Amino acid sequence: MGLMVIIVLLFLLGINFQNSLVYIVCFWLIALLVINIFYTYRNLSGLTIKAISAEPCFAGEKMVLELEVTRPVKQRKSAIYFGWKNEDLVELNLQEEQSTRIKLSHSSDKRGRFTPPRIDVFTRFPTGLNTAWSYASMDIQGIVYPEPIEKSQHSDKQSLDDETSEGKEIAGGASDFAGTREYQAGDSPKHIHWGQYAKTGDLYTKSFVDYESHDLWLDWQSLNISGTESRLSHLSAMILAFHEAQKQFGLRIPGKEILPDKGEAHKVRCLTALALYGLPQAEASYVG
Amino acid sequence: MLANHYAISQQVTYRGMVWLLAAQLVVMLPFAFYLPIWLIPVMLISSYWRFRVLKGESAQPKLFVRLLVVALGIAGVLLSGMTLLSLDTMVSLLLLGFAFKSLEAVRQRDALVVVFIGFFLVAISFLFSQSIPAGAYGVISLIILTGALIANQQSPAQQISRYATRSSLKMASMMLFQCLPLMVLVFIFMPRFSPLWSIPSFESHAKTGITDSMAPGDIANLSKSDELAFRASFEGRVPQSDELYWRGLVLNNFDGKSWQQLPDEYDTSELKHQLLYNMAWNDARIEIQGDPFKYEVIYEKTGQPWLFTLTPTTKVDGKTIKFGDYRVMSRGDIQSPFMMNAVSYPDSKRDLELSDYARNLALQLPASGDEKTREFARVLRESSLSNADYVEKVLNRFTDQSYFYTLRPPLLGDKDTIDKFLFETQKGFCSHYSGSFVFMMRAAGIPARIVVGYLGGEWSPDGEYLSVRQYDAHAWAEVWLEGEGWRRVDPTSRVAPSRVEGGLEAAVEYEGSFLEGNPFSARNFKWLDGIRKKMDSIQYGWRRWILGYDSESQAGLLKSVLDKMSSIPLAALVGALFLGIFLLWFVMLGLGRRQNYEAYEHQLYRKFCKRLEKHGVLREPQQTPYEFALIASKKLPSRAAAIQDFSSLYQQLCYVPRNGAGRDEPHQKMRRLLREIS
Amino acid sequence: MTQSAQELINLASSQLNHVILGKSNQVRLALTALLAGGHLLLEDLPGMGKTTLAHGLSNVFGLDYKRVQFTSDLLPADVVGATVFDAKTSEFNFRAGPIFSDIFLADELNRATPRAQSALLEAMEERQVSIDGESHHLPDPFFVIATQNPQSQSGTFPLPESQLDRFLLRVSLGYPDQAAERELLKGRHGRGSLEAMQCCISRDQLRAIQARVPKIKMTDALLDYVQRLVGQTREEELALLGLSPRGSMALVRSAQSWALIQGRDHVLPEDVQAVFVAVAGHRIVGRRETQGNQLARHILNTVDVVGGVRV
Repeated sequence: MGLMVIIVLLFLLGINFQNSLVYIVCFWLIALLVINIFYTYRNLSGLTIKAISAEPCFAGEKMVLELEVTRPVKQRKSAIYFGWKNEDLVELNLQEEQSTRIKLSHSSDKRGRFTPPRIDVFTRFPTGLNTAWSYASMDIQGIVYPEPIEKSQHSDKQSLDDETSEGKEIAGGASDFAGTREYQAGDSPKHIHWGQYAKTGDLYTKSFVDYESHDLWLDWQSLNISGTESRLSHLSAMILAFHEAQKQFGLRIPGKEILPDKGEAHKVRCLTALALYGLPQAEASYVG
Repeated sequence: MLANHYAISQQVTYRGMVWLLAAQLVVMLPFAFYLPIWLIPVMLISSYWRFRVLKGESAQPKLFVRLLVVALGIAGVLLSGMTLLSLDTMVSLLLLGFAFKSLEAVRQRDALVVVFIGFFLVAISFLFSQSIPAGAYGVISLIILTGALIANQQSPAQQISRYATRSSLKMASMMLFQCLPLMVLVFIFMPRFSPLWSIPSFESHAKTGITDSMAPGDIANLSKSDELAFRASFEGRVPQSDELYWRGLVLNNFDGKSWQQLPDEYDTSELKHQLLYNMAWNDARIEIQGDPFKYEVIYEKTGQPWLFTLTPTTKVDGKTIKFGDYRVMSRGDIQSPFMMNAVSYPDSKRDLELSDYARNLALQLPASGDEKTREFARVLRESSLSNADYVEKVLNRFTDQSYFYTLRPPLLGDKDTIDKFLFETQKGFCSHYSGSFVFMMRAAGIPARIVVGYLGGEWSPDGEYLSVRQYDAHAWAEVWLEGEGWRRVDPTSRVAPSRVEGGLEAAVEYEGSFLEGNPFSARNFKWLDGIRKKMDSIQYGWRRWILGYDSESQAGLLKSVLDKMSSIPLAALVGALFLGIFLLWFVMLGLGRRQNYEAYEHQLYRKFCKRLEKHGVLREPQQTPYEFALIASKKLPSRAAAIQDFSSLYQQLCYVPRNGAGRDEPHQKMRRLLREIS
Repeated sequence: MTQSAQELINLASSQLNHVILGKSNQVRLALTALLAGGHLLLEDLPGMGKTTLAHGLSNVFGLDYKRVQFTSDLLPADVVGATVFDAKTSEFNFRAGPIFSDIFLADELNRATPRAQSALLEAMEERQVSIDGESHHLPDPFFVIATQNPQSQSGTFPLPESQLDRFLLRVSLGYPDQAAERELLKGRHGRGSLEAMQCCISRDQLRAIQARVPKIKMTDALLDYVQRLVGQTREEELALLGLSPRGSMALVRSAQSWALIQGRDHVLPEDVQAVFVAVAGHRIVGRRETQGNQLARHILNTVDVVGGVRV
């Protein structure tokens, strides 16, 4: 805009002084303004944007979308911005490297599938005289888990009957002290009850037990909380707690049962089930 | 605009600022030659200040300080004796603003403004000088300014790169270079308008060249300069060297010491009015004879309105006026190179009838003084048969007596200068000879006047154009004879015929006073002549085609290109040219190319797959070249050999490590096999 | 040696094929893992010949072999060894566990508690055992074959994803085909013939062959293919967990090893394809509760072999 004013002024100057060189500067700037459109366009063109992942998140958190941006072999890219209005803005440069990954975050408000809105992609490079822009709609969906909120429970119905609250004891474990026994060859010296040895002259070994996992079930039916969303939030919190404690657990919600298991993948599976509870099924992208 | 919704990091980066300051210095430098000298340190200090702020050694000046500085600057400009509304003042203020703007440039937007003002100042600098070096310097300034724009857009991460500076410079040069075709196109086709309002003049511009009065010593000063006055090129008839009398001014009034144009002193616009009123041009006064000279002249900037033409000029174009004393003047002062086409009929007869006003002017003499000459003229006229005979006798006197042509004449004092010259010193140059000649004519009652202008000029090596320089300045005389009209008489030619034939250099060769006081002029070095003449022809092209390109050149060019084309094909042509440039850019920037990310062998292999697909063999994505070749050759036994060869070649190229072996040969083979398969 | 490496490998695999009938592919994968210096995970029901395979391998290479049945009460010390108090000398002496062998068969690994599992897995990764502040190096060709019962069986501690990553390949032997089973039934083969095997590759020769694996060459086009495959496993739509960089390095190394077994000095896409399911199957986790193997096969079928960026 400012340059336009300068160009008009120069043109008037050229007219009034009948000065060819002033004209030349004026026209050169016009040409620069025009070719700059080509340049900014080029800086944006040819980019390949691929959605890598939409990291799952809990409602109320920021959903992070990871993109892989690849440039054409022979064109270096500078100062390209990716952003969501009022959410995030990331600057990208592709000089030596062919492609790079960027992360954009967007706030999520409710559980379920989250389709990221179109991304504004724009650049002002090389001169900043004008802007080339485009929108990228990513064909990807993120999962927003229910916000984990633990609700106070009045009934213990949900802790299912089992041998102990901790599970079945396994001898030879290492977690909890379970008594002493006579020393056997191969027992670790760390576990020798030296106090006993001093008293009796015989070696005793302290024995410890582990607990074999027992199958905990998180059951929708047994929750006495009203409201679908608050149940889901509670289950979400419980899953996190169990996962933290490295417990093996299963999940039962109407229409879906996930067998007891543990690990990251299991947690994700359970939380995803919660997130998509009651939502129409997305079609499967492949048949395994 | 989309970008406005986002708060992009708005700060000017360190490197961006360094670029800005560098660009600023580059832009400001040429003004050092034209504007008050104190501006330079002020601008340097402000740049240095900003640099310290940048380094973190000083604080960003507060608003109050900035205002104070600006106020001081304005006061300084006004106090340095410049008129408020003159262009110099405005440019000085603009420069100050430019220097101070970077002081407060913190954000990207400020940086843009600084660069824009920079662009503007580059153009302004061309109002002061339009020489080739100034033009070249301007181009460099443009590149650096554009580079500063680019550097300001680069992200900090990019700027760390070792190549950052080079890459922004390279990109700026590249962009401006690619702009050239469009710029040239617009330059050629953009309509030229006449000035919209009268422009303030430059005080600092010295007037050069011939002045409007002549004291005996004046022209000798000009002879010390080899500056260009104008260039002319002829079409058709080419004048001989004794025809190259370039009429500029006519001096009518002699006050006993110096010659002026008219009895009273006028400034140029009054002079024009006076002349228009009393000596307006009248076609009827000329009796055209002989073949015309058609020529084109490009005058250098002089700050004066005089135009120099061959006498009598019957046709001129542009913003010029012809007058009844056969001179031509520009309507305004010549502030930039000025081009004009003219037609002259040198063999014509002028003013067979003389108006009273003109006669009175041409007979004016001071009431007293130079009595000896007056007496001598009266005696000589009485002994002559006619006026023409008298003229001849006076001229012969210059030849017969021992008159010398010299650029170092003895001083003549303040009174009776003509007496002294004619009877005592007898040494002088054109103004002495023409002055005394006209005096003697008038003393004998013959209307006569001095014409000032240039004589001769130097032809370019190819004879294409004539360069007339300041040392070609000359003064000669015109006498009016009954039945003949005005006749040009050059008394100097009687004393020093070589002045006409070979120019000033030849005329004063014996005393070595040519270009005296200007020892470094290239003219003084004979061996530089070749280069000088080449430079001169480049200069000519520059003047003729760039500086002198105006609406008439435009019309002429379009006419020569399009001849009888009407405006519609013209519009089509311009449109096509624009389109062509855009296409060119598209190709140059690689926008048209479909980006293929794959290596050539893969592309060939895909073609191969497509061919086989037509024959009914489809490759599954997971099939390796080897597997697929087996399947395909089984299905197409007739082509099995080619398929196998092709696949194994492809496999070799892709998966077998090679030691720098070329790919071209296998590619060729693959192409051949591909043809075989289809 | 260079000439005979190929012959040695051929000899070894033909001997093994005599012992384990109709499983030449699995045998070759086992060799691949061994030559690449990685470990092998066999996922199978009991009685499919896992032990025979491990035993056979040790015989062919003249290596010593130990087997431990993992149970829920197995202590780490039972695997790696322990410091033992000698009452006579009143000193603690280190007694090496069964893991101090060239080929170690960990049977039913997922029956053991996570503690015992991780003791083994740490030893596998570090190739040394630290007990009571002392490190003990494991023998140089050190090759673990672990077997695992299918996941769904109860009373098991399934190996976490991070630990599965330590196994270079996961292979399942599966039921023998009819012809092979018939041979077995006739009793002419199988475990009985183990004793008849000859050691045909010495320990030093094995080390030399192992050293050649990383030198098998790979072109850019091939690496492009590998990266396409790996990229696909990380595809959000398909997998929860894709191949880690360690996983893709394992893929490359296995492919190199496979190419060496095929007698080539460079890797072809075929080699990558041959090992891909074994490498990726246990490392990736499908989004829709699919078996890793199925997902790996799906990826293998959909990723184009041809193509590659301009170099």
